[in-house]
Amino acid sequence: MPRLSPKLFKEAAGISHYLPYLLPACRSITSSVNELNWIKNELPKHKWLKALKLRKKLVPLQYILGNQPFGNNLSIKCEKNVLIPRNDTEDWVIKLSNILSEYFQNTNNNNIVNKPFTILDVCTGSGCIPLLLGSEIRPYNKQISLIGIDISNFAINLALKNLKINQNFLNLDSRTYYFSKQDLFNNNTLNNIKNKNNSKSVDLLVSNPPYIHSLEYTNNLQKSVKLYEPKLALLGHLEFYNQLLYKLFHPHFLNNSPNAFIFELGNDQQVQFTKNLLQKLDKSNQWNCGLIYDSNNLIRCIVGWKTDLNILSKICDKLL
Amino acid sequence: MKLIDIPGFKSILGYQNFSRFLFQSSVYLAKKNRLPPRPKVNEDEIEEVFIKGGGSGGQKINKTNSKVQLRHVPTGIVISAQPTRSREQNRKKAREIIALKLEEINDPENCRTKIIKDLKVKSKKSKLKKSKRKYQRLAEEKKLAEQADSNNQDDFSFLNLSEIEVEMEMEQEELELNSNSTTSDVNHVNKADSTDK
Repeated sequence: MPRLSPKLFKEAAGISHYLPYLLPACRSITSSVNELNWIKNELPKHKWLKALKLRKKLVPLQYILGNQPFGNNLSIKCEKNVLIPRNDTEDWVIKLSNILSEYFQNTNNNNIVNKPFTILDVCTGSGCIPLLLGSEIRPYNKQISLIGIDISNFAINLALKNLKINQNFLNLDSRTYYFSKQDLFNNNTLNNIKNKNNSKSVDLLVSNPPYIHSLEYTNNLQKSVKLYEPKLALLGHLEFYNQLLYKLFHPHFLNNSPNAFIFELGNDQQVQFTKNLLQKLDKSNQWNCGLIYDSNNLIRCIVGWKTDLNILSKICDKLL
Repeated sequence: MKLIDIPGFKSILGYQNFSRFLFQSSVYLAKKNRLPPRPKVNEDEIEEVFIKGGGSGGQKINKTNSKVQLRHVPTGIVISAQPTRSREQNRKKAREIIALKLEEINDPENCRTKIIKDLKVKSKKSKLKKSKRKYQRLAEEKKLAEQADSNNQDDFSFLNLSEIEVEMEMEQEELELNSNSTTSDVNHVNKADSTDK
């Protein structure tokens, strides 16, 4: 990355004496001005300088301000050791919630609306995905329940905090949201969830697993991410998709296998791997598969669905 | 609110109503209501783009900005907004801005922005007038006060002078008394000298 010119710093200092602190992280004056406004709006004056000095050391803005807006109403608390929710994740989760809301809203079939619908989120982190899906879909299906699992204690604690913080928007019901510390690679995970979930079946499997390859982690990662965000939530490759699909096709996956899945991923290799494994495991040829692209036209998600949930084809930008 | 804590007062006026009367400016409310409603933009006529800067996305990068760009297809107007960190808030704000802009083009005489602008100009003018009047009044008062001061000074100078004269007379008396005593001392010393001799 090119060095920032002293001229730029001088120009920034001309606008505000706070502004040069933000240049190393933002790298342009317009985005520095934005960040400065947010810091000024959200923090009391005596904390500004401390926040700016942290930002100068490339600490993520969300850790400094303590939260990240997610979706329409939610504010997700961000703490060290837990991944910050990304814009790209927000994009596809909003798309998904719109499609599912539509599905529950338009259907005349009472069986679908009144049937319990369970979503399992693996590697939930701050809990942003189940919380947003729950807050958006709950008005159309009162029987929806959401489960989030993660291997990290920090993540589960933070997810529970976020549940509390956003309870005004979540239509809280003790059975709706459930977070638990579980290891995806443990053989007993499914049984553990099953016992806690009153043996309900899961309809949709969602995951944003760590998907940054170790080579990319060392060479091609934003400095602020590398320095301050947990390696545990970033570093991973095909093993996660392998494990997720094997769990999905496990003969005893929570009574019966889900009708759909969405996994966020980072590169084409992961797409090909997941697609091939799905074809291999899907012996009765029930599954369809598609891709979601992000706003930069990069591959972001792989979607799979059985014909029961054909509505998910709407979310895909490209069918496989 | 302890000021109106008189027995029977609440029942007569109604505590709630009265407090509202005290604390909400009715003039302000009237002005607000007189404004035309916020215009809305037809969702079918706009294209939405989220600008996050190029490059990789996902977990690799933590972007704080989520700029929303709207393009109104029939007119080709493009606006972008990023007042908050929340993308959804930015989307709402961008729609408001583009709707105002379209209204400005379609109906420049009666659009909301023009009315707000006019109101602002009006209030600025009235403020200027008020401050002008205030300073004029202050200047006049100052002038009057100065005139009064100069008149009063003549009266008081006479009094002061007389006082000073009295004081000076008293001091002189004291001095005379002192000088008498000193001379007597000197005489006494002289007498002692003479006796030595």
